[in-house]
Amino acid sequence: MNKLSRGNRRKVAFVMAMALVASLSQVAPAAAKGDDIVILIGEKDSGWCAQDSPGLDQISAKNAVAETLTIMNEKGKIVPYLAKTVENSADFKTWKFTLREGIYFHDGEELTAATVLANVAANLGLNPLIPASLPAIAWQDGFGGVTSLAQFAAKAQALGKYVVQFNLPAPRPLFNESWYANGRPVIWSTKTLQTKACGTTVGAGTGPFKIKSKGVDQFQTVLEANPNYWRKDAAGKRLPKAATVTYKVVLDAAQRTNALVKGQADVATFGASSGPQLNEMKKNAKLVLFEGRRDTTWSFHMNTTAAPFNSKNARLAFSYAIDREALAKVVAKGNADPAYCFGATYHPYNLSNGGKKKCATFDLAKAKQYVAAYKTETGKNLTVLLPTTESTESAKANQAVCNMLKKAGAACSLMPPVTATAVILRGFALQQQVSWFNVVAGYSPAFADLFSRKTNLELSGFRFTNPGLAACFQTALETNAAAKYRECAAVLHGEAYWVPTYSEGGFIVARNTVTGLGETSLPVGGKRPVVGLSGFDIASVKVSD
Amino acid sequence: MKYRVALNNLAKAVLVLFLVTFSISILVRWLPGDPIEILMPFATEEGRAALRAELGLDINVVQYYFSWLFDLLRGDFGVWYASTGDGGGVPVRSMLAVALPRSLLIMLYTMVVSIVFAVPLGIFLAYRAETRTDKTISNVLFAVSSIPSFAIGLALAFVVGVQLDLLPVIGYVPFAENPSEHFRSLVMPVVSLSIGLIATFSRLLRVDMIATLREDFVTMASSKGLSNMWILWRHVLRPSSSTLMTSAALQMGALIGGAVVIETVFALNGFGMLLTTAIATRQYLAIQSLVALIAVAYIVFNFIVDVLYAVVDPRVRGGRG
Repeated sequence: MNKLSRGNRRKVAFVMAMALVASLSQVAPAAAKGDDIVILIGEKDSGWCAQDSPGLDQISAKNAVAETLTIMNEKGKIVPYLAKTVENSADFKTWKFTLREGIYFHDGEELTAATVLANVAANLGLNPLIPASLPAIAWQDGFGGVTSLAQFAAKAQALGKYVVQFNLPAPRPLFNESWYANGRPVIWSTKTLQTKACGTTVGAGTGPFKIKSKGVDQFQTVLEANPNYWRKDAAGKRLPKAATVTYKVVLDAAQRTNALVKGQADVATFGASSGPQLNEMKKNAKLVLFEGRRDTTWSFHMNTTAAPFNSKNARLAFSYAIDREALAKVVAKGNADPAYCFGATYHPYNLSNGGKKKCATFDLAKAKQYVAAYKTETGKNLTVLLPTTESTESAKANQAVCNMLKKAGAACSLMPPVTATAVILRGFALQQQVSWFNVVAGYSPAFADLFSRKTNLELSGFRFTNPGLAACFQTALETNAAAKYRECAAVLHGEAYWVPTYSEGGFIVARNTVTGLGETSLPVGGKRPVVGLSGFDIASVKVSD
Repeated sequence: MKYRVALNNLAKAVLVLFLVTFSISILVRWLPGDPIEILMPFATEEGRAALRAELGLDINVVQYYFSWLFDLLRGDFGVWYASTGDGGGVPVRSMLAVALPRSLLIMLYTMVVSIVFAVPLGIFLAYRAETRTDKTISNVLFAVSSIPSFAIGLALAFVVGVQLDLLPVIGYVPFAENPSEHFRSLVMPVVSLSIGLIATFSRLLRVDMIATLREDFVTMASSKGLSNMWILWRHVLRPSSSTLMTSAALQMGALIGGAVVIETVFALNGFGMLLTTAIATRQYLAIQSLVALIAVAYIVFNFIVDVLYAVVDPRVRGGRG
């Protein structure tokens, strides 16, 4: 057998080492240029079908594939989208949706009234393959609690190929907004609804992009352009402009920042809790930051069915212990505002009287007083366990809250992500004392109403033990009267069922080579907000060389 | 005789596998939270009952275990359940095909890098034992081994990735797609994991080498006029490496499922992240199959080390070890 001499072996080793060094010293690849967009998000893929409840990042990806009947424009108004017009009777019991003609799903099916009815039925839990959706839990009572397709048929009919009419037993002034629900109730093709893989690995919508690969790698979803997309740009040219979009899940905000700065990605999403990274990126000339309106309030929702928050003393102690100004500074470093009330001043749940009044306040003395009262009431020390997600931001923010509770005399520790299951991947708190949610956002109470009216959901984070309050919100929903909403929200505050902490708008950060963010006009006029509750309009986005 | 030893080892391996996987069957049932509530929060009672049956939650743990085992032996690792229940999920095998090669390669590269650096360093420290150089380097290694790998990873990403612009900060490139980019994508994760291991391995080797250097055969070799390098590498290293090999084998098993933080930092989506997500979402079948794979990995690596013991140490080969 021929063997290399020792000298030759050294030469070969030297050449190999040089080759390795050479390969390592190449400049890192820039982001894919032109037709391929890489978007970094901070949330894993856990399903897009009706019954799944993804968070904002995954909804953004989902809405690139499947679209809603109505949509929110940049002024916060809900306008028709897949529907051409939405009409209602004076008593808000009859709603007629007329669909746009000539819209096709990725699998070739045309969007018709029959498809919409199949989707509504699936959302209501009437499709044997697909469980009911989260929004539908609220809609079921709007439909008078339909439990069969026969009952459904009596309340929802196709009036021709492109017209759907709903006849509701009770007034629903915000029914059109329910069909937006922050991008959740998308319309899938009939075939998609006939497979259990709906939204897991497959899903044919009407959106600008179709699924290329999804679900097997929960950290990466690849979409490709839909050549038959129904919208056009202002010049009448075909959309989308990009050929592929890759959504990569990078849970660590610091690494999303690094990748963006380096050019390994084109766009990334951030919450205000990534304050240090956001402030750093603001100084970088290669990056452009878009901030949404600071009208999304992060509030703690108390599980009032179990200790300790079945005690009003515990809830009030928690509310008074939170120094919202300090929390906003610690968590967001100037990228969020302390929240004393729910939502912005224009939200119906907001009690601030135009910003003059603080609905909840920080008062350490009172917090200590209620901690002591809890001990007297129960004989136990107030002990709080805060669930966290996998991000360092979550741990930091919850630790800050814990420190505040400790100052008030309560014990507090963090529940690690693996234990805090539902918060991470389903969005619901199943066995937790308290959860941090952002359901009060934008202008409309439609989405928050999903959570404020229910007393019997098996979702402890939203579970109230106050039927009177649920009835109050129910009346508010049926009348859409601002005064009624305020009356109910006052009870939320007074009982400290929900405790507001800080308000933010969310951030989209793009490299300056990215064009077209939020540029496409909606068919009825106006545009989608760049930073919205259901992601940005991806159709016109492109990366310049 | 050799066959008896092999059969004995095989029987032990099977017993370990059984104990590990059966224990997991019991433990996953003790996890807080109803998996049906997590997987299908809004399902009807019928849907819940169907999923309960599919997951084997309506039968006792022994029946459930053997049903899973039978499937596993046929190459069926189970399904990663979606909220639509059976038929809507993704086969765990497909997800493993994405995640496992990444973790195995990270483990392999980390061990190679760690050993390549740790062995010369350990020998050098043993040779210079109790000198100022040894004390300084040992203290530095002690300090380095206490730095968490994710902190090293984040620092590397910022300095090497962003400031020096030398390496990508996130993502994984398969070898078949682009060999050069493959290595570049794994340099920082591997270095982050290796630094602590280099410190640990070199310290372990140093201690064993110092003990061996006191043996009579070393004095004998030295008196015969053999060079120090020859004695250290040819006569002292082999009998001193058993602790290092044992530690390396354990680390190899641990790295497959335990590099989750580094996988998170560098967005690698490896086996560790898959297992963590499976636990968080109560993917019973996936948890069981993934843990079984880790157990197999531990057994295989320990078996390899057992073989290597015999290779490096003649006393073990002769049954005198």
